[in-house]
Amino acid sequence: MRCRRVVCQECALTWDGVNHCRACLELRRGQTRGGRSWLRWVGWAALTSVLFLATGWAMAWTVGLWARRG
Amino acid sequence: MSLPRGVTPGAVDLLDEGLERVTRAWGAVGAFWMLALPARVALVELILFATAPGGRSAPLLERSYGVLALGLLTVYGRVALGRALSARPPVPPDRWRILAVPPGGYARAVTASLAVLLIAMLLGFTVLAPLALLPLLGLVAVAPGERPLTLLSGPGRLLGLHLLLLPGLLVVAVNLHGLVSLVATALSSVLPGDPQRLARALALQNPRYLALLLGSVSLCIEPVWLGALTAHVEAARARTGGEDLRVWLEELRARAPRRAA
Repeated sequence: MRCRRVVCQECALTWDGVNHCRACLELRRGQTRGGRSWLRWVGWAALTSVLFLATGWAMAWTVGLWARRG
Repeated sequence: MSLPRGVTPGAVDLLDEGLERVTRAWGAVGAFWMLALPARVALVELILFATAPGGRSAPLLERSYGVLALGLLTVYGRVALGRALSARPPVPPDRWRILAVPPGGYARAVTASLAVLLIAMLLGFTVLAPLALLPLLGLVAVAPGERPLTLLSGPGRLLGLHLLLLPGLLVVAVNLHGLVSLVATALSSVLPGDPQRLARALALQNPRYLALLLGSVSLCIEPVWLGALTAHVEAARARTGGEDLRVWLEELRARAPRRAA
C-alpha cells in the first residue's frame, strides 16, 4: 500500500498481487490516463499541423488553378 | 414539433427539423455568425486576390493559411452550434455555456474538417468532387468523432436534403440582394456624395459585392443546414443503435393489449 494506511481486507483492492486502497488505485489510474492523454494530444497536434500545412498549400494551388481557368 | 426518437425522417422532415431547431437556438446562431464571418470575408478576399491580374503565388499561400486559421474559428462555431441544435427540451440550448465546447470534440472536428478540406482541394480540378464533399464538413462538425458509416447512412436522404437547400440558397440570395438594394437606395437620398458610386459598388457585376453576397447567403443558410444535419445524425444513430427498433417494439406492445381486449 503506497499511503501506508491500514485498510481492512474487504476494502483492499488487489492489483498485480499488491493490495491498494481505493484512493491509491484511483490515483494510479489517473496517472496512467494522464500520461496517455498527454501523448494523445501531442499526436493530435502533430497530425493537425501536418494537415494544416498541406491543406493551406492545396488551397492556394486550387484557388490559383480556378483563377487561371476563370 | 420535434421528430419522435427512433423515427427515420425523410429529406423534407430533416429540413423542417433543422428550421425548428434553429428557432430554439438563436443565441448560438448569432455566436456562430460572429465566429464564421472573418473566415468568409478572408475567403472572398483570397478569391478576389487570385483572380486579380498579377496575383503572385507566395501571397496566395500566406492568405490561404490565413483563411484556414480563421476557419478554425468557423469550426468552433459549427461545433458549438451543433451542440446547441442537438439540445432537447428541457435542456435550454440558448445559454452561453453552449460555447464551452469540449476540447476533445473540437480537436476531432478540426482534424476531420482539415482532412475533408485537403481531399476537396486536391480534387479541386474536377470542380464537382469538392462540392460533393461539402456535406462532410458540416457532418464532422455537428457529430465529431462519429463513425463515417453513421454519418453517411441514408445517402439518398442526404442528397435530397441538399437538393432542397439549393432553391433555398437562390431565394435567400434574391431576398438579401433586394434588401441591400433597398437600404442603399434609402441611404443614397440621405447621405451626401455621388449616389451612382454606391449603386455601382452594390451591383451584381461588381465581383467583390457578388462574392460577399454569396458568402452572406451561405452564412444565412448554414444554421438551417447544420440543424438538418444534426437531425440526420441523430436519426442515423437511432437506427444503428437499435433505438428505432426499441420504439417500434414499444408501439407494438402498446397495441397488443388493445387487440386482446
